[in-house]
Amino acid sequence: MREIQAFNRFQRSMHLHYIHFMVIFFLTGLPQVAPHHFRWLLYFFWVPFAWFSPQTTYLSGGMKVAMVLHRLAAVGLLIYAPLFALRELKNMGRWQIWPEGGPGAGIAELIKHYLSFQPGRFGKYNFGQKCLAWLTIVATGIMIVSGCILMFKDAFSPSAWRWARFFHDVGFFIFLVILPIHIYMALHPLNRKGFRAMFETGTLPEDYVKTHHPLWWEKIKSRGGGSMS
Amino acid sequence: MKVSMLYDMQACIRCYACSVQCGIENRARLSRDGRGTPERVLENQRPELRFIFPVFHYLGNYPGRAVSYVHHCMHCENAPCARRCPAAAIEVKPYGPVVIHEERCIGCRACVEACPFNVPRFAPRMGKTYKCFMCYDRLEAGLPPACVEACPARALYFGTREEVLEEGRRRVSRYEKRLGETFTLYGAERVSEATGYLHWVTVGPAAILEDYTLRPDAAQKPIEALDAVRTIGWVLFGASAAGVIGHFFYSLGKRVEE
Ligand code: HEM
Ligand code: SF4
Ligand code: SF4
Repeated sequence: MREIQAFNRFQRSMHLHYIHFMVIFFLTGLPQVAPHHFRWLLYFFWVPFAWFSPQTTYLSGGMKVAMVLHRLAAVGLLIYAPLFALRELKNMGRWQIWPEGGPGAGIAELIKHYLSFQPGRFGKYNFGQKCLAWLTIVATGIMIVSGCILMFKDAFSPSAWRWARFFHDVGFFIFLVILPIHIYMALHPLNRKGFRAMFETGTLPEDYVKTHHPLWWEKIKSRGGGSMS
Repeated sequence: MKVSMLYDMQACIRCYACSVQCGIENRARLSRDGRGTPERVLENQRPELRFIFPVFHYLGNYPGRAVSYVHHCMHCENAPCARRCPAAAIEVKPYGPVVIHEERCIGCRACVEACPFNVPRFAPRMGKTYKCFMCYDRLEAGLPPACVEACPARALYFGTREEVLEEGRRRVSRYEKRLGETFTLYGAERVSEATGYLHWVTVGPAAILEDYTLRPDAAQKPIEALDAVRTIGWVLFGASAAGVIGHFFYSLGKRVEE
């Protein structure tokens, strides 16, 4: 059976690394946003460090290590995200996350897919995925801008630090709300083919695209086949 | 039993003996703790070790009117600095003083962001942040804070909270009678949600308190708003997690149409 490319190697590698960064951002950010519930995480950062610096406590030493890890992950993201953005921006016209049809129709198709378990008339992405994609773009932008202010404090005023802290928290909660849904949907058997495309092959079977992504299939046909971003 | 400090703007003769004595006391602490001989600790210029000092600022349009106020920690009841310190390096003593523990501080400056009075000072060379701890070591040894002992004008006053408030109110009413002007005991009552009342109260003319940074409702709004952001965030997270769990049970036993 013919396969249709859904994600290229670069997109898949970006996605995979964003997962790695996100795990570090969350594990090192949670003890700061919710200290009373997540301070215990600091023990894991502190134990290896305590060997070098026994006079620290899990709170001071562990938090210091957590912050350093957070900043290292931030450096990783700061290298990756601009490369990704540069490469994707030139294909902006071909993005499949632009709104098509109204939200009402989008939600109706989502209900068909996720509650009736029948294929919805989706494009490459359904309404929920498009919302998620835009929220991710916006929240990533917020995290990078506010994170840079918090990371390079000396270049900014305390009042900028305060607003950066505020928006860093807002961005964190955007991720905290959308990620459980994103991860669950990705693991759900309904979306097994999409999972395979993202983590294994990069492609979707042509028949599956015809039945599950009919709107996208029409575009592919009208453009004479081939991959679309 | 709570203790408190009082600073009397009217009685202060602007000699800054308090500031000098604070610097001396903190250097004595360094040599006490075996962190250098008296010569070494005095040789090091460490401005962050003076916790009470004058600050000039200019009010109004350029060139403005220069006002110097005496800058010090207010030892807030709800200590925003302590609430935001991720390393729990700032301790609110049960008897009032808000104490920063140098050895636990990791220099993240979250306290600098949170303090409504711009008090904690970050020392880049040490990688740590410093502020007044109301000489809690002296208090626990039965001595008054060093600055109080140095003040020749009794403009600084220390005692239990009751004593300090009584002394403050006495001074307020005496000044009001003598000068025919309204005076305030700033910090005797709650200043803002963020700070609560202050363990360092100030007697001063009501009309000019704000020029001396003693504003009503002192708070760092974006930082105080974090609590609301977090509450809303966790509620939305709960809704999202509930949706996921609900859909999981809904999916059980259903067949996916290929
Ligand atoms: C995109 C995912 C990210 C998540 C989920 C995340 C999460 C968090 C959280 C929860 C906090 C604690 C905030 C608080 O105490 O109120 C935090 C702090 C911080 N974040 Fe992030 N962050 C992310 C990305 C970044 C990036 C891209 C940067 C830098 C460019 C960054 C730099 C910082 C810094 C500097 C702090 C302050 C803590 C410190 O001083 O080390 N973060 N982050
Ligand atoms: S005045 Fe600032 S440093 Fe002092 S207790 Fe209040 S918040 Fe903390
Ligand atoms: S700079 Fe030190 S005292 Fe201030 S919040 Fe950070 S760790 Fe706590």
